[in-house]
Parts: sequence; structure tokens; C-alpha cells
Amino acid sequence: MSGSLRSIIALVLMAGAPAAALAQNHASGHVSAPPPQSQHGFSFPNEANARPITPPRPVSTQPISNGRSANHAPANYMHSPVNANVTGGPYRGQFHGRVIYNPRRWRGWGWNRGIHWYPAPIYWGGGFWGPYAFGGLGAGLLFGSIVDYQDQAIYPSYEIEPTSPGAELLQNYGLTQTECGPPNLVVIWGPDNSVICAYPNDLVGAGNYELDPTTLTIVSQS
Amino acid sequence: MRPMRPQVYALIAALAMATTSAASAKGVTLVQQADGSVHTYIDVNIRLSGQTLWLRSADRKGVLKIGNGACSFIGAIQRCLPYAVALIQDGKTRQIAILHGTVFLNLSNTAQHLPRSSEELAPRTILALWRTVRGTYVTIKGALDEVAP
Repeated sequence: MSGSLRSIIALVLMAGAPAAALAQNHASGHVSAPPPQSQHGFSFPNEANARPITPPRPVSTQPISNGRSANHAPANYMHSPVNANVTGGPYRGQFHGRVIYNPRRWRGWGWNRGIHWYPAPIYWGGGFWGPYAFGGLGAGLLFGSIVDYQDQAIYPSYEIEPTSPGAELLQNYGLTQTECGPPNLVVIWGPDNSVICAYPNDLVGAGNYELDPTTLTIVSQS
Repeated sequence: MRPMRPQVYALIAALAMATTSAASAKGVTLVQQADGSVHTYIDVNIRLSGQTLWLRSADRKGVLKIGNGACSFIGAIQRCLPYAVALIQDGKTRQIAILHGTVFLNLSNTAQHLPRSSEELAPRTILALWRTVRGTYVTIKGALDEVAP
């Protein structure tokens, strides 16, 4: 098959390709026809020495806090440790207060169509708030932070992706996310010591809360 | 966003050729290295076991195991985050570190629109896109050959 004929076929068949594939911004190249097929399994030559990565701390060059609040941290403060088994940040183990049941009254995994949900280890907040991998936080928007002055640690917050489970949680409670830092906000601690903030409303008052991702329920700090 | 290059058109064409074929239930996998070189794998066997995807090359010499987590639904489309990829080949298992990616699954019996897109995923079809920490892009699309709990 000639190169020109293959190019024509390629253009005709483009309509059947998914938009998500179109959105991929691949590296440059000079191939004008469908590439050759590999004959021996899969080839990942550049990954020869690749090993599982240890998620780096979510460091960003963006400002951690907007400086409007007491949460403006000194520069030598450390970013919070990442641990998929830890929630609550500096308030870990202190969430024995009032349970504010999800207004949707989800049962079990009902919020996720009955499908079991569990954190994806290398994603911020276990993927609960969005898909942003630690190494790719350029795609995520920093949204303030919580500063633990006692332990000199910073817990950065990121904007929730609209289609994430976290977005479902906020929608259920009628909450609107806002930048962490100012006082008198709803502060919700999620998987991996992740944290997001929202404006209080009639259902959820200002304060710290821990979420149960199995039922999309929050518990206030004792 | 940079304009699409001819190579991207070629990639899309290869995807379309593999996924519009009614005669085959096999998938296609595109692996583009950071230097722009591309390998296309057609007739890839796609198996979903729990939240793990298994891709077997047509020559049965290579297997990609993709561990997914944090799955949630957008309408009837299930969206998962791949977090662990292993290449099982030549008697060895090699971990491939991924930077970010998304796996879309349509396990329903009807075509479903992808989120924020006019495009559809056919019934029992997957679309997976991810990038490794070393700059390799991987695109997978195709009908599921097997689904196991």
C-alpha cells in the first residue's frame, strides 16, 4: 500500500477515533502513515530500568497560601507525609464528634453504583478528589493549604475535579469548595492526609471533618 | 495546545482501524516513546479481572498488567486511575512507573458518551490513556474479550 493511500485511509477513519485520544499531546515525529507493528510482545525500551516510584511529596512552585490568613507558613516548614493509610493530618484520631450523614443516604458503595472503591496509591487523596498524580501536579490547581504549626508541616490542598468522588461528596452536602487558609471554613480530611476546604452552610458548620469514602459521610472533630 | 502532527493522525488512524472492525473483538495498543517512535499492537487480547486490566499481545509473548484504583462512575462510564503497570515478558516482570492516566470502561450493553466529549465508547469497550515517568505515551482501546469478577 502506498504512503499516500494509507494517509487517505487514515484521514477517513479519523472520525471513528475517540476525542480523548485526540487530546493526547504526543511528542513530535515525522511518521505520516500507520506505524509498523511490533512482532515480539510489547516493547518499552525506554522503561528498561524503570522501577516503581515512591510518590514524592506534593511540592509546587505555586504559593502555598495566599497570605491572607494565619496559615501563611514559614518557608522551612515541611510538606505533609504521604500515607495512604492515614487521614486527618494533625487531627488524626480525633474525629469522634457528630456524624453528619450524607443527605443522599448512600448505603455501602451505593454512591458508586455498588462498585467497591479504594484509593489509587500514587494519586493525591487516593484519587478521591481527582486524578492528579504526584508527579504531574502541573495539571492540578493548588488551592491553599492547612499549616500545622506544632509539627511544622504543610498540608496543601488542590482543586477538586468536577467528576471526582470528592465532587459528588460536596454536591451531596451542598458545599462549595474554596481555598484553604482563611478561618471558619469546613475542612474535610480525606485519604492520604489530603484536605479540602469549603464554605459552611446550614448542614455543615465550620470545623474539621473526616470523611468515610465508603458512604460519603463526614464526622466532625471531637 | 500544540497542533496535531501527522504522526498523531497516523496513531488515530491505527486506533480507528482496529476499533471499527466488527469482525474482531481484539484491541489495539499504541506505545509512543519519548523520542516519537511508535509501536502499534493490534489484536491485543483485553481481559478485565476485578479492577485489573490484562493485555496480551497477539503473539502471546507479552502481557501488560494494569492495576487500577479509585474507580468511580460518570453516568454509565466507569473511570479508574491506573497506578501500577507491569510488563510480563521473557519470563520477567518489569514495573513501569506511570505519571498519570485514566482508564474508561463501558461495561454496559449500550454505547456511552465519554465525559465532556461527543465521542462514544461502544458496549463492553475500554479506553485507557497513560504516560510513564519516562515520557512514554500508551493508548489502549478495544472491546473486552473477557470480564472476570
